[in-house]
This record gives sequence, structure tokens and C-alpha cells, in this order.
Amino acid sequence: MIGPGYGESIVLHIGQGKWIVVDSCEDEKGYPRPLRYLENMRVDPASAVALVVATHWHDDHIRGMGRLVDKCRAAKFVCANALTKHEFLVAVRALDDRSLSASGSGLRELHSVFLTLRERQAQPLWAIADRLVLTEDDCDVWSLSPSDAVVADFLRSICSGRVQEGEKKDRLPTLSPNRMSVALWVTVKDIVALLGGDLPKNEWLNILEHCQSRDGTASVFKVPHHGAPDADDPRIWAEMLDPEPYAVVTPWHRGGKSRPTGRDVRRLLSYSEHAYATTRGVSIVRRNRELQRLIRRSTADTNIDLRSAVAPAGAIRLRKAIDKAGDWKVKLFGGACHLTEYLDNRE
Amino acid sequence: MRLVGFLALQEWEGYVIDIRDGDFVARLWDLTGEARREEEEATIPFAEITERDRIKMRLGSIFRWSIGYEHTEGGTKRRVSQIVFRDLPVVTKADLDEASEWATETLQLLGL
Repeated sequence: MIGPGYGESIVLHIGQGKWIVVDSCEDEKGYPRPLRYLENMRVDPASAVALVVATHWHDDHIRGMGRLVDKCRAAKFVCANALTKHEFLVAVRALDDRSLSASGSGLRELHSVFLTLRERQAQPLWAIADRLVLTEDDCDVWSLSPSDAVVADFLRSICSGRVQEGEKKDRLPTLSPNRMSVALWVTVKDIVALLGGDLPKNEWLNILEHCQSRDGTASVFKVPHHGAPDADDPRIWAEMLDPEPYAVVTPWHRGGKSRPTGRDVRRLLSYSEHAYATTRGVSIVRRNRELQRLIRRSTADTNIDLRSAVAPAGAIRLRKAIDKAGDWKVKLFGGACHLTEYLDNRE
Repeated sequence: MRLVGFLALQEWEGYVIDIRDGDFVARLWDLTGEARREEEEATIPFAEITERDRIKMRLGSIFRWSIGYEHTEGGTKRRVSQIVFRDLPVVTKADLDEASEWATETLQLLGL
């Protein structure tokens, strides 16, 4: 699990040299981190990646997705089906204008993904509750969400809020809500991982009540929505996860707010002592001393609060032999840490 | 004293993510440092922007923030911070027609 402080991605080896990538984020050079990870492992993404999943269309989950899909030529692409509604694609095309802004938008990534899929004439797979989206040797991947009701509601909202003539080509703040997030149930023989996207609590309760595809409990949990309480419920831990599962949270900093908070950390640690964060702290943006002084004086004069918005890159590797009993072996890279250290770092 | 120019030493492009009482919050891309992602954020008082920009601002609005020196004819220089919102083009009927055609074609090509 990879997290550069804003953004996240999961790279899973499912055996037999095959891989799955869930979401994408970029390094400081704008290169997709999951691709970098695979290439460093001498894995050819073009042939080895069997599945790429975009859990939902938020900036912190889709940076570099266009390039990722382009490079993973043999992979199936999975996203929520509402993203291919005609009205949604019209918005993607009409509002994507590369000349507008250095910052681009998530629309640009989506546009890029669809250009690649068009070129390949490769139909995406739709994630919906209880759908088997991949079977590969010993591995099954089920999508647990979004539910039919959420998709129908989203489609109605797209139709009512579709792009209008005369509308400004501003950067769209949000493309799809967290409730459209794709949660995944990944099994490799008897090993199970639950990857929670950013799915909110109500949708978890819906999964607990209605999803038939789950069998057993998961030993690995990608904690949804950066550890926020609005995406958590004790029933998830009691009914979907092993006791003391290996839980990973990806921290998030935006608008002067951060997740997980100290309270989030304490709650997560009450569920499992095997809880980790992909990164901690905040990076310093490096500039020459003269420029730094100019900025400091200017922001002091204007009362502008300028702050770093990224944390040091970090990653957590969890390894376990498919056919052998035993615990997961954990290795932390970069800014990754055990959650107790994250708490120490914040308080 | 007549101004002869403004030399920007640091520039960011920003987009608005929150509008509050008295200020707004923006994500920033360092154009000077050629950053490939937004590495900074700022909370900016409304006093730093024009009334016109404040009224037109909405979530997603894009602006440029420059810090540098203003030079006068007499040779003096003054440190300046300047925020200018971009007047972005609007979606035209031609944009929508082309986008609709593209969307239909995409769905057909993907067999949807």
C-alpha cells in the first residue's frame, strides 16, 4: 500500500506472476507510483497486471490513472458503471481543456482512460455489489459496492446537474461521491483482503446486510476514508475481519484538515494492534534561501497562511506465503509507520 | 512615480477548495519550481483579492498568485503579492455538440 501523503494506491501480487492495482497516485515527478513500484520489482506492467481498479473518481485516488491504464495493456479496467453514463461522458469531454490550467483535474485522467479504452476497444467492467470482477488462478476479486440504489441515485444527480451551455470551464471540485466508492473482497486461496476505498458507514451496513459474495473474514484491511469515523462501524471489524487484522490507513491532508486524527488513531488501535499508516508528518517544500525569505515576508504582510500539503512518501509491504500458515511479514518504507508512532508524531 | 514593470520571482496556480467567512482555502501548484503536483495550500484573506473576484469566486475557480518586485521609473522597488483570478472560457454549444458526439461514439466503441 502506497501513500504519498495525498493520494493512495494498492499493488497486490496474487500469485503466478500476476498483479492487481487499485487506484493511482503520483510521485513528485508526476509518475504513477504503482508503475514505479512494479518497474522497480522488474515486473512488466503490460503483461503482468491483470486488473486495474478505480475505486472512485476523487483526486487522491486517480492521479496518474490515465498512464497506468495505458501501460497495463493486458489488464481489465474496473470502475463504477455510472461513470459511463452519456451525460457524464459529455461533461468529461466538454470540460476537459488542457490549455486551461496547470493543475488539470480528475476529468483529465478520466478522459485519458477513456481515450485508451476507446483505442483498444476494451470494455470496462462495472463494479457493483456482489460482482465477481476477476478470476485468475487461485484469486477471486469481488466488488462489494456500489449498491444498485446508490448508482441509480448518482445517475439521477448527473442528469439533473449535467454541464450546461455558458457554464465556466472551472475545475470541477468533485466528480463522484464517496458512496460511489468500490470496496473489494480479494481472495487468494484462503487469504482474504478487504479493500475499503472511501466507502461511508451506511454503505458498509448495506454490504453487511445484503452482500452474499463474502465468505469468511479478511486478515488485511485497507481502512476506508483515511480512518474517518463516518466510514467505520464496529460491525465491519466484528463480522468482516479476523481478530486483530493487519489494518492500513492512508493519511490525508487537505484544506488545513488532516485524517486520521488522534481520536481516529486510538479507535483503530482499539480494534487491532497491527495498524499502520502509509506516511506521517508533513514534507517541507524546498526553495533557495532568498526565495524562501521573500515568500515568508510577503505572506507575513498579507496574512496568507501558506503550508505544505504533502507528507513524505511512504509504503507498507505485507507479505505472506500463499500455501503456508503464519503471520503477515510487515515492512515499512519511507514515511510509513505503526499507528502508535503516528499518534506520537501528532500529539 | 510611474511603474515600469513587475518581476515575479515566485508564482503558483491555485484552485479554490473552500470558501469561508473572510477568507478562502486553495490548493497550489508551484509554477516557478515546475512542480508536478500541488504541494502546498494557502488560506487567503479576501482583502488580498478584488471585490469582483470575491463575488465571482466559487469552488474550483482558478487563479494565479505571484510574489515579486514592482519597479518604478525612479529606480525604487517594492515587494508585491498579487492574486489574479482567471476568466475562464465558457462551455459553448459547439463544445457540447462535439462532446455529445464523442460520448456516443465512445459508448459504441466500448460496446455499451
